Amino acid sequence: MKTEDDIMIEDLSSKEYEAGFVTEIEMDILPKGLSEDTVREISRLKKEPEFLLEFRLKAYRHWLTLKEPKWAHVHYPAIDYQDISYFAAPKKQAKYNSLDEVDPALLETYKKLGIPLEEQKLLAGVAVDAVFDSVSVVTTFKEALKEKGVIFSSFSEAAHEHPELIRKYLGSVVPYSDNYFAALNSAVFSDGSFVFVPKGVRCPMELSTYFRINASNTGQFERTLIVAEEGAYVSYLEGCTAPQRDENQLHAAVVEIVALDNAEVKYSTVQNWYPGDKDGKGGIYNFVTKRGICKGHHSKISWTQVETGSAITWKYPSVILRGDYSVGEFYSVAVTNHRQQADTGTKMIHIGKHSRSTIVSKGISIGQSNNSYRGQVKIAKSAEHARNFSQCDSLLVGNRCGAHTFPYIDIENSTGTVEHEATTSKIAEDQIFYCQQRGLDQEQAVSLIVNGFAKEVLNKLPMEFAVEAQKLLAITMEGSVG
Amino acid sequence: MTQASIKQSWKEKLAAGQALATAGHRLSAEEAFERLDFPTRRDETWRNTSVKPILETAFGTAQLPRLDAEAVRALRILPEAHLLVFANGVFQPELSQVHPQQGLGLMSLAQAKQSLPELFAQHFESTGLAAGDVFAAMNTAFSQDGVFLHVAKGVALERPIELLNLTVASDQPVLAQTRSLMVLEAGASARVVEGFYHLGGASSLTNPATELLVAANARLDYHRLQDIGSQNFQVNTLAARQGRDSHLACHTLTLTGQVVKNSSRVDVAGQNCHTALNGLYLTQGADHVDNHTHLRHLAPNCQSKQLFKGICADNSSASFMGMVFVDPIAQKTDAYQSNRNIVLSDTAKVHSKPQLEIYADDVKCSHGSTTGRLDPNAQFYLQARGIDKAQARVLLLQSFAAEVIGLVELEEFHHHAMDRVERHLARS
Repeated sequence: MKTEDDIMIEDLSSKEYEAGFVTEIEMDILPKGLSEDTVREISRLKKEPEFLLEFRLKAYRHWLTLKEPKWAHVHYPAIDYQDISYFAAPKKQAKYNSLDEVDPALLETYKKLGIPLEEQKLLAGVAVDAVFDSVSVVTTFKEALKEKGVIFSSFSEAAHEHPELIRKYLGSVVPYSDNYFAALNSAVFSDGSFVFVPKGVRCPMELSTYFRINASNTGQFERTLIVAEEGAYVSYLEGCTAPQRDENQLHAAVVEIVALDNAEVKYSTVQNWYPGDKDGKGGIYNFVTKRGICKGHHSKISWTQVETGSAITWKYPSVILRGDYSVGEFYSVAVTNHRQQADTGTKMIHIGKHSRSTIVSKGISIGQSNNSYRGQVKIAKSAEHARNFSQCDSLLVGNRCGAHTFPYIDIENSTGTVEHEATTSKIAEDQIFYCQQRGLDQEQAVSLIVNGFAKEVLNKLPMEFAVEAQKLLAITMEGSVG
Repeated sequence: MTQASIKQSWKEKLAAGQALATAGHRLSAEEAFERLDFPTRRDETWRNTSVKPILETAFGTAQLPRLDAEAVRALRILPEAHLLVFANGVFQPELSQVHPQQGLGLMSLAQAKQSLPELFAQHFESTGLAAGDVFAAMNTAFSQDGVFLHVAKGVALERPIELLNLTVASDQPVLAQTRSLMVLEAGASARVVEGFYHLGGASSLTNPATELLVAANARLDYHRLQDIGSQNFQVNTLAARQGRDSHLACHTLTLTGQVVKNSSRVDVAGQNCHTALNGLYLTQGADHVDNHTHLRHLAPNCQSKQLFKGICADNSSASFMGMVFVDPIAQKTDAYQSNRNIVLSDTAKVHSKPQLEIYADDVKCSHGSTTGRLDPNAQFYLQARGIDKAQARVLLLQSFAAEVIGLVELEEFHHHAMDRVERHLARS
């Protein structure tokens, strides 16, 4: 006989993806396949400067020498890299001044997702650079940013307008030779965002970009580069949802962040890509390289992520703490359901003296999913008085899922202090009982407890995102019981 | 030298006499030994330990050791205990002493193979120790002797058992290995202390492997003291299997060794078991100690605790890699794993990798890892009370180490270990 718990778990496990719909828009798509010609063609279509083509070609040639890594705690059928189209762009490439000129179908998509583009424009708090598939369609609030000298544009635009900056910083944190997927991205990256905050400027608003995979079988290879000069501050938000698909889509993005003396960069992301149906069919492969470098003294980079989507997530936002007194932070909530697999965590590489880092990771596994934390904390010999604190908590819902913790801790001097703590548990019956006694039903109780479990991380999100993230958690957890 | 020629030369040195393993085990283990490469830093379980210094040592042919009975006696921790002595992997009957007791089978493994062939065949290599590891495969394929312990159903051994595992080299480095098989039948209990020492001459590599089979309701306390000296190597493999309601405690104290690698795998196969894996390592000079534990919870309602602590000085390095695996059926598992290190110099290195792999939801599993220096406030506190700096330091380190040693229930070993640690720390 099924207990009430089983039914609840089943209920939750059978929940279909809520943002699954397809927008019909004409696309410019390169034929499937990857070769040196594809790389040249992408570069030509985007009318890129010569140095970018060279960068792509170098990356492509290096990629050919690499083997796909296998060490992560994930399983998936082999990817046929020749069966992917490496470039897709919305047909209408005109630049718009107002939202009225934008393709109404596109706006409809955002509406369904509940992204208040118009509202945001009115509220004037957030500048939105909406990346629809691969080419930037709408860029708002550019003028306001221009006044301050902040550059916030699509990557291709920046390649034309600020080639010297791109040349200086592209690949400086994640070189094209870094790993298999970073090399692939470097060869075929389509577009992304570029942020440059000049010396002493505090960016007046939160910057946000919405990525959305739309065309079938195109794969997305975003490239984001954020540079904060001395004393600058910027908070960057990224959010993703994608329509329902039956074939796996590969996403191999690269994000690079550079923080100079006294600069601070806050990078927040909510990821809700299509995770596949309840049998694990379809869904996005999210193989991402994200890394920041605290180049200057007293600089700070903070990663905050809420991961609820993707069939497979393989992602380790990292910080190289090179500057003295620099600070790295990583706050993460990862929820996996059905047959989702997540292998995610962070790397904190301490090189500068008195550098500090904090890691807080919360994993929630439901259904038949697997959720792993994998992280490295390295205190190099030069990192005197470096300090790290890590906490990784896992919550299991049902006994068919898995939660794993794989921390690597390497210390090479005597003044460093590293603390790591991890726990795995389920929602205690007495906690639910306590809530029920006070008039909450079981479902509300679970939602409350899970929200409390993740609160420490959600609190770190900017206001605009915290609401969205909480909603997302509530949707994912709806009907669940531990 | 190539890997193949190293293997060939090792094989010649180890496989001269009569192998213990039956033909089937020997063939498959030898095949694994030939097939598997020596681990490199690209192998996950060896990422912090290099076998290069081992492979670069030219081992000579093992000499027949001449042992001074007096020197051997000086190494004893438990004068009243049963004693088995091995030197360079060869059993030393004249130095050993077994007090006969009903239900106790204690002898060399080669002898057990002759006199108790059924028990031997039933248990030898029953943990699948040789699979997937070149050193364990080498042990299974070529071992010629070691310890055999069998405690019959319901028998509690009053007298503990002491094992001395010695190496003696002449002017050439020596290569030796022993194989131990300890079987506790249902409801039996035993306490075992094994000491690893190098008595002199050129360097040595020891490659001991131990199988512990603890049946339902049985209890085994196994203690290891590794003090092999700073020019010597040891690769120590342990595999254990527990039946329901059984207790197993393994304590490992590592004092010296150029490279010491301890791999321990415990399968908790029955309900309601208690498992404790504890370790203390004090590395100095250029010593390197690597503890790797793999604890698999395969049955519900079990409890496991692991505590590994290290104090690393000079240019030494230490590594802890622990894995707790919880099978979907192992509900109500309560597992805790902790690794704490003190780094005393800027040239010492510490690696820590405590891991959890959990597939059951109603469990309490956690781990912690901390690494840091000696707390300057605590030192200052003691100094303010009139204790000089050096003494304060030793006092604090002792209390840090005492947490692990405090878990040892066998009193004589507890005192001996504390004493050794005190002397070791005072020297540094």
